Amino acid sequence: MNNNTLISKKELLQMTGISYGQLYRWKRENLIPEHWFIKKSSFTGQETFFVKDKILKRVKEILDLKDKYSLEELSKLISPEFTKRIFDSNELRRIPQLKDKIINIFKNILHKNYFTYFEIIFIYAFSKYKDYLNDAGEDLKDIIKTVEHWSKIIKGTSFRFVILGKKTERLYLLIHQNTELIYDNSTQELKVIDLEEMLKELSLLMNNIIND
Amino acid sequence: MIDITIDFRRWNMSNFNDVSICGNKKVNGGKYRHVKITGNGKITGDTEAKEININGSGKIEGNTVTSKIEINGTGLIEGNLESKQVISDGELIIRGVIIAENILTNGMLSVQKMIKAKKIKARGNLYSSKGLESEEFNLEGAFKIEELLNSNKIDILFSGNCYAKEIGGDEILIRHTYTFDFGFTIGCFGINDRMEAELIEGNTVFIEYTKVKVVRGHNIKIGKNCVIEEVEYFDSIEIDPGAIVKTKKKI
Repeated sequence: MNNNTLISKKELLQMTGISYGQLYRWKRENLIPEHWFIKKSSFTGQETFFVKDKILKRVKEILDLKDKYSLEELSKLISPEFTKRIFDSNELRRIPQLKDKIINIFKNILHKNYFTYFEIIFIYAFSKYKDYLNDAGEDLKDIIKTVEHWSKIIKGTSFRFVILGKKTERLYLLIHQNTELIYDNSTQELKVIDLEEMLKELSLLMNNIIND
Repeated sequence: MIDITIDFRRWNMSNFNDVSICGNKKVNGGKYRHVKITGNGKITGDTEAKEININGSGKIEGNTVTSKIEINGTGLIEGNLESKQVISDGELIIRGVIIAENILTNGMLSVQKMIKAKKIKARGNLYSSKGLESEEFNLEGAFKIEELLNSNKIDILFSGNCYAKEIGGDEILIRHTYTFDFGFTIGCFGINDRMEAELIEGNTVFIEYTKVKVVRGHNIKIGKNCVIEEVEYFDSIEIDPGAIVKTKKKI
């Protein structure tokens, strides 16, 4: 998380041409998550800053999709809040990006046919980044059980899923968006998966399928 | 934004009982059809009901989900309140979050956490320690909001000393009752009334009797008796001669 140049709120408004009203509305609708607003003190009290790349990308997305969907639909599509619905595994099979094999593994290990949105994010992430997982039985089983556990205790998707490797060992972490991690020399960061990104991609995929 | 989870139409209402408390009594929480408290009643535990009526003094020790809650007198909810309609005449204290479509209060509304609603119309006193989010916010009286007051349309007619840490939205209109009360308040009361804020940001902003550090917006009008350190505007600005503005800047 290094090259994070910040821009202030008014610079953002100038660059994108949106208004304060719009920005606050998007904040209310959770289109821009709370923790993206970084408060910093300036000579006139506090000023709000954003991480430049992230916020510009998000604003562009919202402006592009705004005409197609209503704000409420949009917030379901790209907001970090959880959709409350539960999905059937047969429904999931209709999405080609979710690999059948991974769905089956989840199904067998968790002994259930229905998955929460949080679990589906991981099904999608594991389908996409299969190579980074240790296929050898126990390891995968453990992590899938952990995902089920996480899905109960965690609210929101403002997390990164980090896969670390040390010699032959694998370590799986779920850390909060803004936290920085520093490892020892022999530990390698194999893959970092941003759950928010995953959620967004997945929502778009699911939306296409469900609307068909 | 507003997502009321329970759809009461799906309930088979004949399965649930009515609860009616008269006098001084305590009942357990649970699922009910109508809850009616007359006198001094207490419900222990989480409660789901189609309708809740409190006349007198009522206390719910748990999270409450309902489609309509009406209070005449005093209501105290120890958990969160989720309701389509909240109508309160008197005093309503909520220790958790309040999520509603419509909130209509006369008297006092005190919320320990966040207020989230589509429409809020309040007369009297309003307090929230974790901020307020709504589409339309209409208030007559005094308020204290510790964090952000975020609403598309804000229309405040205040009296007394008020505070909001930050105010943000599309249309912001903050007036003081003094300007409209002829005869009674003129000259004697209300002259020292101030609203205080650290930051006000909106598309169109009108404020008066307000002390604020920074005001930012597209079209800004500063009324009388304002003390402002910095104004930043995109399009237009009007400043009343009775206002003090230290610096103004066009962006």
